[in-house]
Amino acid sequence: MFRFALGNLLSRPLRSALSILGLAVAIGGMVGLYSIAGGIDAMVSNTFKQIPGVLVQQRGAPLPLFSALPSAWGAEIRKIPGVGVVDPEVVSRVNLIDGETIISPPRFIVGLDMHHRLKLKRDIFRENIKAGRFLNDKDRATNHCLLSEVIAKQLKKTVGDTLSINRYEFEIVGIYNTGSMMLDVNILMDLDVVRSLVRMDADTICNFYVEPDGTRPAAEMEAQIEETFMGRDVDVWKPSALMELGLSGGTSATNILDALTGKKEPAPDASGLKKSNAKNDVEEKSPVEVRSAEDWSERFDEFSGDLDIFLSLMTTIGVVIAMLSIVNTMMMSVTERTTEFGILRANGWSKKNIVQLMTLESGLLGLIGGSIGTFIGWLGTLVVNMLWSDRLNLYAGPQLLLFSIVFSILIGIFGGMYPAWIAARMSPMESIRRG
Amino acid sequence: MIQINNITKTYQQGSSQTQVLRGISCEIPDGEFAFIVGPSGSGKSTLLYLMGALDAPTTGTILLDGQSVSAMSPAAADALRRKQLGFVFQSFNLIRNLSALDNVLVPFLPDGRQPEMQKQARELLSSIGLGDRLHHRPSQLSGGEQQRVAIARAILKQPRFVFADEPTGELDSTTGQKVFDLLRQLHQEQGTTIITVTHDERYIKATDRIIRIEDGKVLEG
Repeated sequence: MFRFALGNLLSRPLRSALSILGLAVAIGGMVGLYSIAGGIDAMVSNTFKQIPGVLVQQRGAPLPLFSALPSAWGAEIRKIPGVGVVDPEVVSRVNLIDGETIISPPRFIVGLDMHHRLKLKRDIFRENIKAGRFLNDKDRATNHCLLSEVIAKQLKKTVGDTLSINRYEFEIVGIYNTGSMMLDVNILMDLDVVRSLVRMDADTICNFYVEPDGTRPAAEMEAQIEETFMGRDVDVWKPSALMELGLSGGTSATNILDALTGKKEPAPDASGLKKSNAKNDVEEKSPVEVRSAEDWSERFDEFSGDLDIFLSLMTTIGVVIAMLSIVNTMMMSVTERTTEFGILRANGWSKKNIVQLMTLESGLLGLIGGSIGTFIGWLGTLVVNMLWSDRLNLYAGPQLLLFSIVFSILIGIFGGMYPAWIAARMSPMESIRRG
Repeated sequence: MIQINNITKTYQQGSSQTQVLRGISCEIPDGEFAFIVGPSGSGKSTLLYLMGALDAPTTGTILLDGQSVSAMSPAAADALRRKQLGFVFQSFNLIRNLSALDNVLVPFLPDGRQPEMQKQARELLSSIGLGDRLHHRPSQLSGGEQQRVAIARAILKQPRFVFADEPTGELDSTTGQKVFDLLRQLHQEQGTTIITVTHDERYIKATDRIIRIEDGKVLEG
């Protein structure tokens, strides 16, 4: 029956080809769309499996970029049993590189405290140095930086070259490549240098990277970190009078002079801000939260779950059109082959046999269209990844590819069912006489 | 034995009804070579198809070897057609995408192409002079060759009954005669009951049973 079904499709090559093409486009689009979510999942999983530590950051901050914590809290975290290394970090977005405004893809400067950083047993950046060297103690308060290979290629820079970040010149001492789009957007340098660049005082950091020492279950350690700061607040930050003057542009001397002569007024005092009485704010919650790799994965899963809904809607449109194309093709086939079905019934074929033949034909359309579409979609992800390697990371894994083909076969079968039912319910005598 | 008891067949077309058969009764004993004759529109093809379990009469019964065809379940009717009944049509009605060999094997396709059936189909086609046409498509065969393939399809299963609807209707007289020679050979060698609808009474022999119908009623037989 398989050869018979295949022969029937081949006997109407143009119509079959158009149906296959319609299905291939829909399935190819589906593979392409779902490879976006797949790429995010793969990137998150690949990134976090290389990071054994946890991040301690300000509660509610979606990313370390939006977090600010007192530097002094690091010393308290270090005393908690189970904590190995506590590395304070400062993160900021880069506005200008070599005079060019940076919008997309974004670039970040990450300040590392080398004294603590070098104590980490595992450091994804240090472990993935591709050229030059990692930062060390001698790089403190210097203009040395470390670029990702992606950024270096984009800027056509190598070790020993200089580049301008936010109008300050830096020397590249090393190039790393973690293979993760989440991390390869970073330019690493000394903590204090980043603070200077972003005008952040020495009492503030964005987050702490905490590496456990393995002597205690991670969950217990994480809970104690949060408990340690329970009831405390990240106070409203107020610069010292001198710093306030220093931060307002110009030199410190001119600022002081301006203040003394009354040309410059001090910044308004914001210390009168009232604490919120909102229920969620007054509940006993730590001002810090500890994010493990699993937490980050869950956050991304939430995001990719929302993305999946959108992708499903987009895919449904294509799939419905493809299915209608199959229904149309098979209905035309039924109309043309009325006599043939009568002959088959006269020769002992049951209604079930007719349905089997028709759904086999439409299933074959699904298989061929799905295979072509899946291949094109998969090829498309490779091409897109190659062309925009620093912006997109699409991933069409074996599960997605297999699902696409199976899904396409099901579309074919379901698309063929109604025409098959129409074909099967005809009276054999009427079918033969119509011919 | 085929026993037809007072059958009628009425078609409903919208609000109007057309009665094609109006109380037909007759018998065809086993091993007969029977002809159903009559003018166009007399209901002879309808009678043939009802006997072949391709449709059900509106009223009355048709018994094949004492078993009511109209009371059969669809599965039983399918099995009956697959194993015991063969059909030959005026327009040959071969499947255009299949070779001559595969057309002969059509009744057996749902169960797969068993090697034994393939061998028998080849031998059968060779025995009727189509040994060199096994892999030709219907469009590559002459009308006579196509009808011989259709007959081979009908008789490969060694049926008890063969129903032929105007089997020479689209053939010239020489080729038509060859087709009837083949049917008579089958009748003589295998004792198959053959029921043929025809306009052309040249092929009828004195020993054949004739059922003559007109306006849905039996005039003779």
